[in-house]
Amino acid sequence: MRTTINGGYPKISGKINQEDLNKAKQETIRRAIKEQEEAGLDLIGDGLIVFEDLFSPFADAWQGIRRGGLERFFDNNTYYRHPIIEGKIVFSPSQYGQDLKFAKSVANKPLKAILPGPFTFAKLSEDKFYSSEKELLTDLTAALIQEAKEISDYVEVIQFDEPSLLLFPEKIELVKKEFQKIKQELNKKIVLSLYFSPLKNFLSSLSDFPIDGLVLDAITNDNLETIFQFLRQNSYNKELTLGCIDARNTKLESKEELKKILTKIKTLLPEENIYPAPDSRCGVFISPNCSLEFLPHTTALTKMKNMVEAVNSR
Amino acid sequence: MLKTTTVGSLPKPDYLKRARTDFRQNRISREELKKLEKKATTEWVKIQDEIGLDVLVDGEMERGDMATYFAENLSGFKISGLVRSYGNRYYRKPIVVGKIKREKPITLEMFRFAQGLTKKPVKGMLTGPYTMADWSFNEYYPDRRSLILDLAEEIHKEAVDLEKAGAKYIQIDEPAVSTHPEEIDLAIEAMRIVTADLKVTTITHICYGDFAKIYPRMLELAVGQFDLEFANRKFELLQLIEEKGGFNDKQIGLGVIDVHSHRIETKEEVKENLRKALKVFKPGQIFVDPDCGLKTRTKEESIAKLKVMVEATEEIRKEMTNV
Repeated sequence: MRTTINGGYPKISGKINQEDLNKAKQETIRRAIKEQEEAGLDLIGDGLIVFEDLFSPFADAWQGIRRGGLERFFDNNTYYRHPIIEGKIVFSPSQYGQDLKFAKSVANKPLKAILPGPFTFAKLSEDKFYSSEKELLTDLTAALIQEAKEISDYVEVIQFDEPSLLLFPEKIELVKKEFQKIKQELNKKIVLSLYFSPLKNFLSSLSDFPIDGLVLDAITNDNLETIFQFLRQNSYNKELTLGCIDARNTKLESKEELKKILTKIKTLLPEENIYPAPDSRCGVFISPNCSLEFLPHTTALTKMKNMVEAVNSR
Repeated sequence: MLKTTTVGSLPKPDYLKRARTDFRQNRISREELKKLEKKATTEWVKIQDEIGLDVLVDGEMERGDMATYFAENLSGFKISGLVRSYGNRYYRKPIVVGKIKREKPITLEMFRFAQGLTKKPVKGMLTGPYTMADWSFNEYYPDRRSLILDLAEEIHKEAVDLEKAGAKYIQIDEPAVSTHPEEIDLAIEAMRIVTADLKVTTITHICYGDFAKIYPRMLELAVGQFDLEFANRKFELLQLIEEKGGFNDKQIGLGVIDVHSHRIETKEEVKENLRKALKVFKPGQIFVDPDCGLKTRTKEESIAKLKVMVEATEEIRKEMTNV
């Protein structure tokens, strides 16, 4: 079993100096990477340091789209600028590629990139241009594929975040088609991250989703039990990232609690998933349930360390 | 009829923002900060009186985040390190580390001070138990329910004190209620505790989220007035209320000013929206106000927006008496 993060990382490092913004960003990325490596994570991220929110780099770079007013981000007391789509979405490379290039140059561990999934992007945007959701999805997916190609050289895995999908289970077939295009176009490991909402009645419909792995929030409601039950009843043969560290509460998980979860996972998955061969596509990762940015920096760091310790202690 | 008011927070003057930073960094005393909070409150009460609003607020000059402020003043809470709100804006989030208890009144001093400056009624302003819990880290209570119900008991004590101090309106903000439709029962149970036995007009302000999922259940929250955002939803909420019904004689706080936009609304558009609302509600039911607190706007924007709102409302009142 290995460990990874699941999106953003707290960026506080004193005030960012406006004149030297670029250098400050790089320093913050470097620090976020160093802290993850020192904590002992196996698969790390750039921490989405330049993201104002999940959509900002893309809304800034692509044509046909701009950033609108602040909206609450799901049920969090945090905000995002909802993208306003005013014309045909045309790709132009965002800043993210440069950031991941830099991240790759300073990282000693493999990297995971995070992109918003096309459905969540569409759902959290205000569409003033397209005449149907499907047309909007098509162009968003095309632009996201281009974006993914820009960053592909720097990362081992690309994670698409689709928290909105859990709220619209009836859209799963529609979204599946978009991921078919993503998978076809990208020669990269693609994982799908689902968080903030109950997974109940949802997991079985994901079994033929064209992706290489699932990243699941095991904290919200009774998701952990739902995941266990799913694993008991299905033969799961993709990569699984179990988000069992609560990134939305400062309360620290006890080691016993974590060990119990890990022991259980080991009984539910075949040995080749738990101790995967180097070229295996069905390993298990343990991670926070969502971005660590909902936590104060010191708590995020402590939680990462505890997570690694629990996984490493046999 | 068509009384005008605001939702609660107003922008802090620059001298107060600086003073708050100075206080955090131990450069000025609590007394010095308090003096400036009262100065700013005095200015805002005067401005509201001059604009001609009917129900005033103290403007929350002593409060930062609406949940964190109460957490700082209740035992059982500590305050976290910085957590990101958006972009480069960070705030300190409450952490529940023990049993919640109100040791002494929290909002009373500022309420009394503001009410002493005007003949108009000043609203007592509280953050509801559901939102307090939802916007805090919980390290102590075994489940959300026990935390929320304890918070409700303590916030009730504050509401009772406000009523005793002469508040004619007590507003209990619950913006988080709309983000968890599955917990609406819990929010209702908690609000019943907060407003139990109060005689004055009680109000709850709810914003964000998907109203369709909690309407009409949300009307079971035990308050006399529901203050909702209409302007930034292009008044779509009116349609929902009209279709699903159930509002009956409850009062509506009608948000006619978009607080997230720098643009000053025109008198005509506010009037047009008021006319639309008057097709759904009786004039005596409607309280005209902005969508939400104005603290993120500048002082000048806030004043300009409120003036348009009051003038538009006055013209509509005239139209109605002339008919």
